[in-house]
Amino acid sequence: MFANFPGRPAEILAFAAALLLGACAERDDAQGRESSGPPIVYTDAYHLHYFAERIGGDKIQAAFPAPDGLNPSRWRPGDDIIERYQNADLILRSGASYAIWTRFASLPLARTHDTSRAYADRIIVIENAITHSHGPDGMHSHDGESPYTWLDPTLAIEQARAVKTALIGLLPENEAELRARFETLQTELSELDREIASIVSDRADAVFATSHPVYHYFVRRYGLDAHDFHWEPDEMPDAEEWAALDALLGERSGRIMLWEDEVIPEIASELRERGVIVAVVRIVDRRPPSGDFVSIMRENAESIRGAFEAFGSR
Amino acid sequence: MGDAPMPKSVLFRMRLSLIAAIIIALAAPATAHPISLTEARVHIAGDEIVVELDVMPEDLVMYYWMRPDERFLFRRDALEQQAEVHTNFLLRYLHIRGSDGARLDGTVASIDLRDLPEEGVHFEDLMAHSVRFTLRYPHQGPLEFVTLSQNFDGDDPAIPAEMTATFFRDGVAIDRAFITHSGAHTTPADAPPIDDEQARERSFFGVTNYSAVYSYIYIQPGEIRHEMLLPLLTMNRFLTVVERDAERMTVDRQREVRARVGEYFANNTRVLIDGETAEARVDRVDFFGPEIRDFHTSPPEREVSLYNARVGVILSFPAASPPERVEVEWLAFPDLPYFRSNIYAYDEDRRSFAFNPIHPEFVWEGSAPDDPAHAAMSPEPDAVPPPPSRSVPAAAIFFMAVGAALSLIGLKVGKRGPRAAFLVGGPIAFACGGALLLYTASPKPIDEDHADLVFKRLHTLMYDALASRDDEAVYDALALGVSDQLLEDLFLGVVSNLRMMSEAGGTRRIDRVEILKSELLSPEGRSSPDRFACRSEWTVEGTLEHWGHIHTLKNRYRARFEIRHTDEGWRITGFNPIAEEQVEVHSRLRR
Repeated sequence: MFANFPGRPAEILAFAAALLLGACAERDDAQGRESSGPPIVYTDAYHLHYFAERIGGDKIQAAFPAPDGLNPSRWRPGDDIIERYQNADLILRSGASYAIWTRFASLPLARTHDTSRAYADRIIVIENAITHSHGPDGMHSHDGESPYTWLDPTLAIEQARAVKTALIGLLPENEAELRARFETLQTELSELDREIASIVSDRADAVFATSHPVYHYFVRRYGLDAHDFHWEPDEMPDAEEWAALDALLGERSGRIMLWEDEVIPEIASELRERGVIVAVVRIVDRRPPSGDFVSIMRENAESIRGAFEAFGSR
Repeated sequence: MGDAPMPKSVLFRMRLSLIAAIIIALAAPATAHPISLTEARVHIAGDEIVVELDVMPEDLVMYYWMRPDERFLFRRDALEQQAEVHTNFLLRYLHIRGSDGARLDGTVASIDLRDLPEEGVHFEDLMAHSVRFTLRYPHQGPLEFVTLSQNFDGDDPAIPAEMTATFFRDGVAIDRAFITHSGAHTTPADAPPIDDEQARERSFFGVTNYSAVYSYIYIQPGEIRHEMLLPLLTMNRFLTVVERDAERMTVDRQREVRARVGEYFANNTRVLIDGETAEARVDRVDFFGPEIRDFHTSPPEREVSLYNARVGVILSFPAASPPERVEVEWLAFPDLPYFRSNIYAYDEDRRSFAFNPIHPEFVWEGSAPDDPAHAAMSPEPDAVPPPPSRSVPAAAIFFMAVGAALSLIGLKVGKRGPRAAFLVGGPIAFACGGALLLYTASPKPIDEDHADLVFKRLHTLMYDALASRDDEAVYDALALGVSDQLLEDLFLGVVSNLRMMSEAGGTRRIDRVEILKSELLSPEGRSSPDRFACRSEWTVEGTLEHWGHIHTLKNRYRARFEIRHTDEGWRITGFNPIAEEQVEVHSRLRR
């Protein structure tokens, strides 16, 4: 059944459902997949795809059909692809309002798992965010639930745990194997968390800004106090935006700014002149050209280490 | 010559003496004063509520048995002295309550006597002047609602004490109320200015006054529905549901009295439909806190205050056929001696009727329009063409027959040349005919136009089912367009949703269904003229109406359908919703 009318009274929801003739989700949920072979697991986020592959191994077929060039959160799949999701044995959602299309698509409830449920009370809600535009995504705002939960490795572990639980439900005979793989992944993510925490410890004020409001969980996890800009690494900010940065620099002692990617030379030059150190912390929301989720997160940690060392040496 | 007329001054003095004597004679204990007329300006601020209260000197005279001097003047210093005494009275009988209905403690900040003449107030001018009391009621944090109540006639409910109150936020008037004996008025602190009528209607869904009784009567094809909303305080005067001296109503108490409240309204509302007494069904009895402004659905159960809660009662009176004459009579006079009802008969404009002891009955006569849901959607009943037939073409038979005949002739012909021609030409003609037969009789996928026609018809039939009013009719209507397991699934889904809406009260209607596009899908190995699959996108506009306002919804859907020609004709046998988007939703008052 569709369930995406936030704030609508139950009566109107019922009417809306009746407009779709009381869609028969229960029957759909009960339907099994007809083909043989390993269970098919679809995800709405890259990191979940990675977790599913790491934990499920060759026992599952993991699929993440979002095109590489598009933002998976704002991508709108066609009906063919939605039907592929509907026919999957398991659908893993990142939750926290990630993948907007899942609000409108009819996904079978019994086979769809929201991996953020365990930390629903820790989801950050942003109010009164500004609307802006960059890249192919068009005008958008970061208002509402902040979706990039996995940048806090402890929450990423919770999501991986939810993936493991869902896969065990699908493959109970492989429980021991799935648990063992999850524990390996958990160890890697925990080490990553400890590593970042050790770099940042006692010097959280070194980070003063982020290029984009996507680091809320990262910032909270490591006790940072960073101001969010709305800058893109390949789009030169205008004079007003540079003035805003200068004003912030006047107020803060920190000089490290988190960026989603390497910045273009013009931006790098301006930042260097102001003494700002760039730390590239990729949000890993799509399949990387090389490496994987954990390797990119390790690169993030190394970039942070480099930035902190540079800051400390001043 | 007659008697000389009495000088005017003497007459005046006599009259004054008489009035003074009457006043003094009537001066009685404070609980028996004639009437108290006060005016309050209630200023709502972030951390306190300030009430400026204008009290006429008459109140002081009446409450404290004040006597005029020989010039019929009440001395200013005497009035001042009684005004000081009156502060305790005001703090006792003027109640300001916060959002939760709990009383706020107040203090008297000042007494302003500037309006009183220095020489005192002549007893004829007791209502021409006022003493202004400023009372302060501090509170913690912003308040969502402020409730003002007064009981200035002390403990005697027989004589009304009337107060006109105006509520201000940031100096702008946001509400005005007339509060009678033991009455209360609640205002939301964020209410729009009172001169912005549209904003108020938007904000309150037409139910703008927390102290008033609201009544809506809907005359619909399947029922008469009466929705009533009244302050709990008002109802408690004639139907005691809150214990004496209690100021709040617990959830347990609400559950305990709900049936009794429903029964009271059901017993006191007599409805005749086309001359026959209709039996009342109590659909809902709800207790709403002040924060509820749209009474669309049952509120979460929680304790409410007697002073700012409202009771919502929905009664329905089933009609076997669309009513053409409706009589509604309110029997509970004088419990609820007057209330105005908005009446909505089918799609007619709103009309208004004031129920009162002289006119306790409203009568409506008219004719029921065509059911708009059916009228909007149903095409002619048998518009669906059957699957293409597998006819055997005459040409194929002809060729085959000719071929067979030529072959037979060839066997009998003696000459070599013609014999060979017959024996070659005959089988070729037979083979051609056979090939033609095989080609034309083999099953082929349905063509796009045919499929489109079938799909649109079945789609319409599915939505027609929503206009049906009972389970059996829903099933029968669905069965015209749907079969197999899907029929059962859709029936359960539709009935469950319709029941949910029915329990919530309100009139719902599908106004328009529009198929935006439909795409015939490749048959995936099931090539057949009597089955196909298609993907469709369509919009549905519907309205949901209650409490004098209308919610309009427009949703866009995409789904995949599987359709098969069964023994009963074309039927949808598979339905897989793909996506749903809300295109439009808005609410408006019904005029």
